[in-house]
Amino acid sequence: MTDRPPFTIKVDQNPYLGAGGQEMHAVVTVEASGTAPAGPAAGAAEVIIIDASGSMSYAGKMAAAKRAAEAALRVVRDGVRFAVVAGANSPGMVYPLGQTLVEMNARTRSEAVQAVSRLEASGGTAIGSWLRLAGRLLAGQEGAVRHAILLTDGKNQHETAEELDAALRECEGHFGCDARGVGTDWDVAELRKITSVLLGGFLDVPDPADLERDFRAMMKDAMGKRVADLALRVWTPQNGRLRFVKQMVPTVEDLTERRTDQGQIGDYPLGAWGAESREYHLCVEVPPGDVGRQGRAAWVKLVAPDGGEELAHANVLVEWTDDEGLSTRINARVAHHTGQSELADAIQEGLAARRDGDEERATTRLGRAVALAREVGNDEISGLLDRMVEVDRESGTVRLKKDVDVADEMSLDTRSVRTVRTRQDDEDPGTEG
Amino acid sequence: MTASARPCPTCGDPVQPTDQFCERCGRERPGATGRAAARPGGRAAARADGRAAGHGPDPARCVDCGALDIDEDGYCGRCGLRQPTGREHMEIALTGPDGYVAAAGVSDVGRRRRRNEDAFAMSLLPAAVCAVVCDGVATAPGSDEASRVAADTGATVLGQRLAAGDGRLAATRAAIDRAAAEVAALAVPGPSGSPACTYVSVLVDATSVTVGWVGDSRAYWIPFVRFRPRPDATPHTRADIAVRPPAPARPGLDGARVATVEFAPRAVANGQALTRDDSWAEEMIRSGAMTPEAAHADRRAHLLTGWLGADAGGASASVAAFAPDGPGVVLVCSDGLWNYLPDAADLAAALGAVADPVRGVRILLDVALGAGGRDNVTAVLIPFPPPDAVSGADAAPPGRGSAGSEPGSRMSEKRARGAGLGDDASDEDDATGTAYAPMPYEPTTRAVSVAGTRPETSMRPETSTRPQASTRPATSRESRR
Repeated sequence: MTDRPPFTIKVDQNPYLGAGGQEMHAVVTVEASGTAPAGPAAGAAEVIIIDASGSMSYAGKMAAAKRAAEAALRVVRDGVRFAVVAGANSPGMVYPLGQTLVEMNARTRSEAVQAVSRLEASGGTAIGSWLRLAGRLLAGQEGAVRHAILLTDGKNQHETAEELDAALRECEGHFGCDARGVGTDWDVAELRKITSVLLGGFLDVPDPADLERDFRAMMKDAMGKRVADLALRVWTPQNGRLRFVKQMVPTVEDLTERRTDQGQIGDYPLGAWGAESREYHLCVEVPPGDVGRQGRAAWVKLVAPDGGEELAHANVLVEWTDDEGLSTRINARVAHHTGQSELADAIQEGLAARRDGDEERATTRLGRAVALAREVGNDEISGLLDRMVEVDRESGTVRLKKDVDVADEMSLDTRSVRTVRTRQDDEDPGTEG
Repeated sequence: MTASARPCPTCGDPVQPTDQFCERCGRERPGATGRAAARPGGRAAARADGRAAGHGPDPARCVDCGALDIDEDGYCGRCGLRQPTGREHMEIALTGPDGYVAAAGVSDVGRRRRRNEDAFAMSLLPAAVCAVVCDGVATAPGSDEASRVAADTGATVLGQRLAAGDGRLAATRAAIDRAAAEVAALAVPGPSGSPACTYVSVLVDATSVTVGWVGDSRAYWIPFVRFRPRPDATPHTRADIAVRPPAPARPGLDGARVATVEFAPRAVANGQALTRDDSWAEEMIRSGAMTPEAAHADRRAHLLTGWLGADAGGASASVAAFAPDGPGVVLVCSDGLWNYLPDAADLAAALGAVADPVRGVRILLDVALGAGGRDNVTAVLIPFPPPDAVSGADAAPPGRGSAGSEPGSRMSEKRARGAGLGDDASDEDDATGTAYAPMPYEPTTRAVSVAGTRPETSMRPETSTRPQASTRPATSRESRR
């Protein structure tokens, strides 16, 4: 009846609260089991947006972008409806010529590759207008996995920030977008905002030569998405409140403000899903209960958009106890993700302070980040931090390095939200009577 | 939430109201008619009984905020309160025809677990009392249901088989077989594991205690040394004789018959366990691989080597009979109690001079809760000897600690014949145990096969398969403790 992969939801929490306790944390792991059938999934529609502004002609970026786009086109499955857009002061169609999608087959693939190879760089950067065009192209593909890939090398200089925000509001919920920044002239915060609203990810690609491999991988990932427009539906008790919902794996993404409210029930958009597992950190404020009371602090469901069909569900429980041995225990996953969330904040705040010349604050925050990265075992971030700061192993104090490669700084900023999973050692309790 | 599709309780997949079973895992849709109703002693009927009998609260309304919005998992849709199931704490006492308590049971969720997966059932039979205690295996979903079904089935079938003329051992075995089949029938295909539980039954009549078990729930014999009656005491000596006046003689009662019972000669001063656990620790001790102290200290000590359930594999049940040499009390309990008081002597000490079984089970529960109450706690006390034979015709209906069941008494044939239990002990196992003759003191352990649909592939990890029944040597008391 459906080609959806089977989903599961797992909850990690310490369900015990002390007398008067109101704050319940849980880590919710949503997983689609990996045995996705090879046959056609939900339909897919794909738009590739290549920055063709004048700056792209330097440092071999345009040539690399063309190779990358070609690599991506070769990964798109036959039957997927697609288009290629060139971005400048205003967007232009690269393939097909009209503002429409075409179905991928041997002929359209070769025509698209030809068209991309003729692409020339000139003009400015107005990303909002590019996204608007992608939105128009992807309109009417409801039910399919709708996705765009955005490559840019510069800041959004040829439209106002308000114009970009308006474009994002228009596109939000209509398609997902992953982005890549090539070179070192683009704005990390800008791409973070775009991909955050459009439920995608972004990465820095400092060396244009790496772009081809990266695009191929990104498109493969996009082709692996099998279900569009999933949502996390969370029930909370009357007089309770969901304080926050954050995606924690693969990246930190605060979904709290994305709630569509229906009283005690709120929906949070998750976007499209492939054979993957993501983790969410929930914090529920529950009305205080008497010692001994047991209840449900939240009921978490994974719902499909059409008719809100439930794909999986799980309980976040709560029980009030006067046993401090129980109530003061912190679940390992909750602790891990609390640390990772703080790590991302510390890095972003530290880098912002550094840009503002507030060396003291930058030192404090990045120093905290060094400790947290080690604590949660995030080796990638530890390595990037090492390029920014020097740590005195003996005193544990941190000093900002003077000559920092701008690419390293952008890389740390970009990757500050990338998290690592907990090292799970679930012990089997065995069979007890 | 849509009104149409409800999530399957096992796998969470949506199940349409028109579907009988979950498309994905095959679990029966909650509320589906058919299988449950078709089964004798079906779950639906039992559940309705339990509520009608006042064991649980109004299922439709939250006990706290009053919302008419309780979902299938038992949570209030408005305030989130987990609704009491009626199994958090249960006490039942059966009063014998002589007006004394013939059996008392308590089952409690304890201090650590969120649900009580223990269950017990007790029945007053003509001239006998039976009780079954079952402990749901916590790692298998649905095991609270398994223990309830097993206890209800066991107590009911035991009474039925005795009424139909089976001997004590045969009836005990038949009850285990039937309980095993009922629990196995609860299983659903899928990775989540089959509902499973332990089982221990006792049948206490005027001369003997017959025990059957699978798993690590136990029965103990606790003699009332301190209440040994004076020579001129009322014949059917009871624990409470010291504090209560003797029961008035009933017309037609031949009290002398009881008085002439010859008990087995060897005294058991401090009591003993009548069962031997089907557990890892016990396997280690029996094979000589470990000392009892080391085996019980190991974290694997409690791993079961036998249980009721579809994945029970080659597990087999044990049946034994015991002839007390004087008055006392039979304790049937789950490991939630005996973990804290494993030795019969300690249990006897905890009970002290308390003669009232109702107070007795509460004392034992308090001991377990006071020591931590880490597991569900269930204890049943049956004074020995039980109320007299003939008066059993007026016996109260069976009481069940597991919240209701089908009407269990098929005692009419029995009553019509007006005979005591011992008179028709036709089972070959009881050949030597004719009416009121002493049972052999050595427990005769017999093993019977318990229904297992998947004998080759046990789903339960870390458990060893017990040796086949036929290869096990007959056990003696000396080798048990």
